[in-house]
Formats: sequence, structure tokens, C-alpha cells
Amino acid sequence: MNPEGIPFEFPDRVFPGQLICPEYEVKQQDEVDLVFKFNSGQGTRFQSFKYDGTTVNAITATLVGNVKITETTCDSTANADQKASEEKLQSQGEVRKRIVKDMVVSVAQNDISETKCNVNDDFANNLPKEDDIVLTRVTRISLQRANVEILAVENQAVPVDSGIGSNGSGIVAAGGGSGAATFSIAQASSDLGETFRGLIRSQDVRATERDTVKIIDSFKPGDIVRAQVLSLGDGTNYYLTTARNDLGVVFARAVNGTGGLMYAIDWQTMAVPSTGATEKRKCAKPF
Amino acid sequence: MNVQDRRRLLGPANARPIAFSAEKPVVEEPEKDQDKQESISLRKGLIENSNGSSLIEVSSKDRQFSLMASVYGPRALRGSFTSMASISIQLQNGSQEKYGPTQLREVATFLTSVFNAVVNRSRYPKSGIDIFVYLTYDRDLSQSSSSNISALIPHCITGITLALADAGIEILDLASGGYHNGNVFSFIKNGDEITGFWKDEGVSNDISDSLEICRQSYIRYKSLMVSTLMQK
Amino acid sequence: MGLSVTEKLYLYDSLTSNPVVRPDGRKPHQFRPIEVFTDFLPSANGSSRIIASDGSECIVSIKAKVIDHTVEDELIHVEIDIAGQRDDSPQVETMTSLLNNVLEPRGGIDVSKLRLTKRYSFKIFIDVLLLSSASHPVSLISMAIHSALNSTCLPKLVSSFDDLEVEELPTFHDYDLVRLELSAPVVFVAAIVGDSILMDAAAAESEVSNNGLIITWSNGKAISPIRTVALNDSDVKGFDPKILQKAITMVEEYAPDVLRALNNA
Repeated sequence: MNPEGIPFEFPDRVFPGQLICPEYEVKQQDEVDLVFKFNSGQGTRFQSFKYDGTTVNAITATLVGNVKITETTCDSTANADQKASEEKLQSQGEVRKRIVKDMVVSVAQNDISETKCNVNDDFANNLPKEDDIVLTRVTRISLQRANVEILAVENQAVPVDSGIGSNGSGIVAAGGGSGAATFSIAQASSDLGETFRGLIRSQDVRATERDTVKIIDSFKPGDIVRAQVLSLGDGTNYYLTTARNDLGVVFARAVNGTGGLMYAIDWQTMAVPSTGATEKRKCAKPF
Repeated sequence: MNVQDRRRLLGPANARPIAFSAEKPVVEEPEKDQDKQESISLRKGLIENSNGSSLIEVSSKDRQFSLMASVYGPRALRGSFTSMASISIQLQNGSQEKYGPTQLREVATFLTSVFNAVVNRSRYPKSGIDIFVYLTYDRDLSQSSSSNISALIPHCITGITLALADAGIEILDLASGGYHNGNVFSFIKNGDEITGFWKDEGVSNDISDSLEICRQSYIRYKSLMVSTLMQK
Repeated sequence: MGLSVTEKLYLYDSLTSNPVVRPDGRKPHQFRPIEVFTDFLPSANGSSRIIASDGSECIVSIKAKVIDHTVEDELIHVEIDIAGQRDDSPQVETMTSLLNNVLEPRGGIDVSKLRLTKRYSFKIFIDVLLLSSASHPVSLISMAIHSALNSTCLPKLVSSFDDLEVEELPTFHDYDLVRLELSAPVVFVAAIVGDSILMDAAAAESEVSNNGLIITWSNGKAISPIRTVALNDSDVKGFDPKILQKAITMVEEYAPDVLRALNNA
């Protein structure tokens, strides 16, 4: 594999600890210095190695899988750096131009690289992080907040496990594992429902009129809600928001979960097609 | 015994127990190269309901044993916020209750500190990774009474590393180790870095000799692990 | 104790610089002052209380019992209690296992001094109570055990040594005691920060250390058990193999001075 004219060979399939590439590489091409700056993505990490007395930074694999290289568009700071370096070069009387290309090196595990799926419930390499879109189920509501459990992360490979029990795909160690080690036996988690939990505060439900939000008119227990991660939160909860048009309830059943499936008719109303009854929700824009 | 046993019914005084012909001792003829080196087999992904698992079977001149490692997680951890995954390792005796619980706990704590340096823990905030090692079979052929757990530690490390890689949990390098004269070393980065050292017997002046020997076995285990992991 | 990222980096850089700059101005091999009180528990055969300058405190009591050593061969038994921790917590169990290993007869300790007659021996029970600790407590505990054993006096035997034939129980003098001169191995904890080795690391130094080494020392040389130990939860890393030998050499060089100070206390 040798994309975009990088002047050395990338390994194809790698194992943890294998060197993939250095941090920088320069290629001279038609009066222009092409500088590749490699950043570590999923499944890779910078590690320093001592070589001949000097410390060298290099990207190494942390997973078994295939190397994937993608070019990222330079952000403004990188451009500024680039300009500065060009000026510096010109002031030294050199005429060579320099183009910096930012590349992200990642390692994709076998199955995930080949199958394209939108939603992933395998959390091993895909824990929810800031700005991720997650699918959640409402477990409990109060005046100030809605508590949810995170079922899956959107647009990414999903790790097995956080959805333990609740989405049926997770695996939990017999005896409670680290949960049992951390807490007393009485508090130790059962084998079921050990999910990553989140909460949506009432002021994060929508972007406008944030202080008049009524949680009861936005979510009901059992609703499936598409939300964005605001922060990793505290030990127990991720902090989530639905303050965007495409975020909010995606699936809900009428009459506290006993009725039929409802469909959004505008951004704060859902209706049951068979009866015509409507209920209030903060809906996600369906399309 | 000159006191007659009156408490139970006894057979005739001149009765003799049946004598069986002596069992033929199984003659194991170790091959020449096995004399020096142990033979190892590694397998991964055996335990279906875990995220990753491995089985290691070792047979050498004076010891035969096998162990299984399974990895569960990362999973949600309750309690205070942790920016890195917390790793919990538990060692369990197999059917032979060979090692005491405190000894197993001490080894488990040692292994945890080894793997704290190996797993890319910052990738997994607010999560716990559970690792279980079952010492399924352990037989000492050398007849020496001291059945120490130290010799098992390098294989525990190899097994856990393999199970972690099988689970798709990010690790900085394939960690493994070696055992020589009571010294156990755990290495990463081609033997340029030690992640753990354990010594339960002997004096301190043989460490540098053992270092080289352990590094050799680390490199051997590592290449075995690579070939196990890279096969489809 | 929580240090911010910047504080950690600052401390790490100063500890890895050459020469090492420690926050309290100590040399890499220098210990902090400790206070030791011995023989203060009237109900025990020997006792000690050790207080480190950071407020870590540990109490050790030694009790003895006459046993038939042909039946029971374990002559020294250590039991550790850490304030605020369950008896089955990993830290307590690990520490107990380690110290039982340190005081194991094949190591540096001479158990023949516990021998009373051909059949009977004293069995020594060492009970450790760790009241508080800021950094890894094993070094403090082992020093407390060492000074407690040094202060231990056991009843004087008056019956004959050879009792295999006569089948008699050992009898003791009514009030004369004999000092038990059992020199217990002492455990040192060396923190590894980058390429530097620090003895007796303070809490903040442990926080930034990449790894730690537990080294047992007895009678002029380092003995087993020796092992690595994580001194914190966040910054554990591998280290250069050369450091291992360097740390052992450092312990062997300075341990006699530490022991002399401890014994004269």
C-alpha cells in the first residue's frame, strides 16, 4: 500500500507494537517540498523509541488489522504554521515551496473495515466521546433531567459490551468483573443492564427557550433518543444534548409505551396513525 | 501392629492382598531439541462469550501446564470518574488447588501493574476491563517439591496479551516475558523496556545473566504470538 | 493527592534532570527522617511504632507461642491490617503475601534462633497495623518489623535442649528474658522516574513515577523477593533494563547506613 505518493512502503497488515511510520516524511517533487505529517488515529499511537541515543517518535499499531491512511484537510492553525515556515524559508533566500499534508493513520480491524454499517454497538474501540452521536433509551425522567442508557454510537464501529443485556449483544464477566472489584458485593452489578449511562439536562433539550423546557413534554421512559455527547461527565453519566434539529426522539410508543408506534408530525408533536392521538415529544428531524 | 483390631470384622489372619504386576512406567523420550526448549502452543478466540480469549499449552522437560485467559470489556464502570480504563486481573486455580489465594492475589496485582503499562488505557475512559486467567492444568515432572508460580508468570503475560489483542483492545506492544533461575522479566519494545520484574528466590547477582536468557524467550514468544495473530 | 497535569510535568522534569532535583532537596538515595519507638506494648513480647515525616504511621506487635516444629513448620507469621481497608482487599492481601515471603526462612532470616529444643520452637506472630500512609507503605512496615524484632525478648528456657527421649514440655524461667536477636530483612522501595532512581519517594514523587521496585536487603546484599510495583495508577510505563541493576546496586550501597540509623534509634 502506498497512497498519495508517500515515498516509502506502508505495512499492510499489522500487529500491536509494530512500527508503521515516522511522524514526518519529506518528498521533493518539482521544486516543492512535500511534507507529510502523520497523526495517529484509531488503533495507532505515538511511541518514543531510543535509537542511537536519540529519541524518535513514531506511529505504532495497537491493534491487529489493516493500515488505513486518510488525508485530512489542514485546519487554520496548520495553515498558519505552514505560511510561517514558508516565510522563514524565503527569508533565508530559498525559493523552494513547502506543502504540508496532514495524514491520519489508523488500523481497522478485519470485520469492520469491510462491512459498512451506520450504527455500531461494539464498544471495544468505540466508547462514546465528545461530539459523538449516540442512540439512547430513556430510563427515567424528572423535572430537571432525563436519564438514558447509551445503546450504540452512530457512524462508527461499535464495541461489544456497553450494551450488555439491554441490547442483547454485550458480554459481561461472570461474577460482575471489575464492577464487583470496585464496589461491595451488595452494590455489584448484576449481569444485566450494565450500560454506559447518560443524562440530558432540561436546558440541553433544545436550543431555544431553554429555561421553559418541560422534560415530561419532551421525553418519556422507553423512548429511543438520538443525542450528542457534550462531555464525558462524571463517574456515572455522560452529559448529552438534543439541542439540534436532527437530534431528539426517533422512536416512541404512545400512552407510556403501551400504545402503537408514533410518528413525528412536527418537531414537538408525535401522532399514532391508527387513532390520531398526539403526544408531545422533542422529535428528531426524520430526514 | 501388635494390638489386635477388635472394632471391625477382619478376614482370615493369613490372608494376603492381591498383588498386581507393577505398572509399566510410561517412558517419555523427549526429543533432542525438546531437551532444551519447551514446546508451546497458542490459540486464541476459544471462549465464545468473552470479548477475547486465549489458550496456552506448554510442555517442557520438567513441567506441563496450560492456562486460559479471557478478557471482558471495556464496560461501564460506576463510581467516581476515571479518565483511563481500570484493569482488573483475577487468577484462578484449575481443578488442582495448587496455589493459595493470597499468592494468586499477589501475582494478579503484579500482572495488573504490568498491563497498566501495556494497555492503551487512555482510549477507554470511564470503563473497566476484566481479565480472568484460569490455571487449568499444571503438572511438575521434575519431582522437585517446590512448585513455584514464578515460572507461570511469563505465560500468564503472554496469554493475557494474546487475549487482549484478540478482544481488539488497544495495546502498546505485545508484552511477554521469560523465566530463568527464579527471575521473571516482562518486556516490551523488543526487550528494550522492562514492564515488570519478579524474583521470589535466589540471590541478586545472577540478574544480568537471566536478563539475556529471558529476553531470548520473550522474542520467541512474541514471534509465536505474531504468527498466531496474523493468521486469518 | 491530586496533582494537575502541569504540576506533574514540572515535577517529572525536575526529577529526571541531571542531577536530580527533588522537591524537598534530598539526594536520590536519601531517606526522610523517621521516628521509632520500641517496646511500648506491655502485653506483647516486642513492639514498635514508626512515624514517617509525612505522617505515615505503623504499629507492629510481636507475640510468641511454643509449638511442636515437627508438626508445624511455619515459624513466622505476618498479619497486616490497613486502616480503612477490608482484609480481603487486593492491597492488604498483596502486602501480606509479600511480607510473608520476605520473612520466609530461606531468605535472610535465621530461624534457628527460634529453636528451643529438638522438638519445640517459638512461633512468632507479627501483627502489623498501618494507621496511615501517603506513599507505598511496605518499606515503612518492614522497618517497623525489623525494629520490633530487635526489641523482642522471649522467656528463657530452663529445661534441657534434648527432649526427644524424655518427652517433656519445655519449661521457662519465671522472670528472666532473653533478647531475640533476629535480624529481619528490610524492604526498600525505589521509584523509577524516567532514568532516575529515587529512594523513599514521597507521595508526590510516587505520583509521577513510571514504575517502582521493591528490593529486599539482608546482611549486606539484596535478596529475593525483588519485584516491580506500580506506585500510581496513571503513569505506569516500562523502563530500561539497566535501571534494575542500578537500583539494586544503590540499595546495596546505602542500605547499611539506613540499617545503622534504624538500629541506633
